[in-house]
Amino acid sequence: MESNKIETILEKYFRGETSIAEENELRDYFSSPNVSSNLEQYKSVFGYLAMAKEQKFEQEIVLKSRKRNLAWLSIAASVAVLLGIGTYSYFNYYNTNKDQDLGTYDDPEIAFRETQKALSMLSSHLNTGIESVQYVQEYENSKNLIFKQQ
Amino acid sequence: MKKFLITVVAALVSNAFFAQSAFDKYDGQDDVTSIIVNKKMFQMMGSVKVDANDKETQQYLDLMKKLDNLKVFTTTSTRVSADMKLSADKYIKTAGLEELMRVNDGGKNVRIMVKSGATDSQVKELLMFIEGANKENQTVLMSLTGNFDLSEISVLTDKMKIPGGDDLKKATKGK
Amino acid sequence: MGQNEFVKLIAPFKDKVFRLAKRLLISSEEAEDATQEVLVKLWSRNKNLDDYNNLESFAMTMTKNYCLDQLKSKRAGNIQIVHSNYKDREPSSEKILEDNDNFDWIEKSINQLPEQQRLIIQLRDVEQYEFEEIAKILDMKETAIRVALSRARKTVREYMTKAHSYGIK
Repeated sequence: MESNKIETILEKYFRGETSIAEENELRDYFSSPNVSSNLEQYKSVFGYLAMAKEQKFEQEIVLKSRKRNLAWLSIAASVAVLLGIGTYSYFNYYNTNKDQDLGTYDDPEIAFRETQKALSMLSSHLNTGIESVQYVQEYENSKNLIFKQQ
Repeated sequence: MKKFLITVVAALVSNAFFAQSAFDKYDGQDDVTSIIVNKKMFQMMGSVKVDANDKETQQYLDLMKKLDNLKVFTTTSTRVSADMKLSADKYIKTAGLEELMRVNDGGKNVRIMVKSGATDSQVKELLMFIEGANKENQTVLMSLTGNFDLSEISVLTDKMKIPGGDDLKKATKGK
Repeated sequence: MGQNEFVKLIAPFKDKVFRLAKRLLISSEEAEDATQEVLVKLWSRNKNLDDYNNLESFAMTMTKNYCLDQLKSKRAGNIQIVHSNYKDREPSSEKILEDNDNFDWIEKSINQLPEQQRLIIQLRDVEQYEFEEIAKILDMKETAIRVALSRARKTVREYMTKAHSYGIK
């Protein structure tokens, strides 16, 4: 790179008008062995800037956990409160709603008949189950009778 | 984390709401026949006049006075049946219902679950689930809440069948 | 987001945060503390981190604000830090330093600049941010940034010329 061209860019640099690409050109030039003598004084500046970018943060990041616990405590507390209020109000809401509603039928007679049907179905199924228990019991009883006789 | 907590709260709160209305979604669905009778209706029925000689009806009425809520959902749709089974299973777990009996009768699968009340024979809540009820593969989901005795239900249809009421009582208690 | 995810998220710019802090606060120790502070603050905004388009800019802005506040309170407490600590004891940077004396000199000259110019030199000449980005971080207009940058670079040049003429390369 010619020193004239470099000097032009350098002038732009001190006016704050260079692009990053141009600044990189300067860096490249000044890190090369062919720096002209009148520009020597700038060598270390650009060298320094490049070096400065290499510095790293070596520490382990300490993410404080105790602070978090305090935050969680307040969150947990408010959750508990919300739960309490929420549950209460929902139960309330649901119960009041329930009371207003009669169901699928408006006429008590029809409702009665349908309920009767449902209950009788339930009842017969229930009895089927109980029957089997009952039969087992019957068997037990007869079994005992037979054995007792012997 | 905060988002998770809020979701949990919402879920738990809605769960309380969910408790009694787990099956309300079936009400009004196309493939579902629903029968819902609420406490208010049961109370109204209390004022229905019954012929003094009609012991049977009187038995029904007496039981109904002790009921809070009756819900029956019937469907022949396989999709709804599967959904009902899932809902029922889920509900049984969350509501803490215990299985009283399971009857498998010629393709019909009947399960009866109860939640006991003050004493062993007292029932707060009953859930009956029938799969494959008829030739049409009908599924029935019945939920009954209130404060009643199992024998009060059994007695409604028992006159024809089982010999010896004492054994019946024994069987009921021995659940 | 978990801690691991967070660490990955900040990895690309945590060094820049540290370097900026060091440019402003001069002392490595204080810069380390500042970096920890900024990162912890970022972590505490955990749930909002996804909202930021440019997390890096935001982090650099936080760093700038935090360090300037530190400097302000130090001044209020009457502690001069500008001249006292231009040579830091960190062995790691000495490894990288090829030309000890020269670089120390340049560092000193930059660190003696007023805060705003220091900021701009750091963001442009070291970190090589575009002017647009610098404008966001510093909340300044681009033209103002260029003017300050020009001034800063010229001051450093003067310093270098002076040093050169004294025989200190």
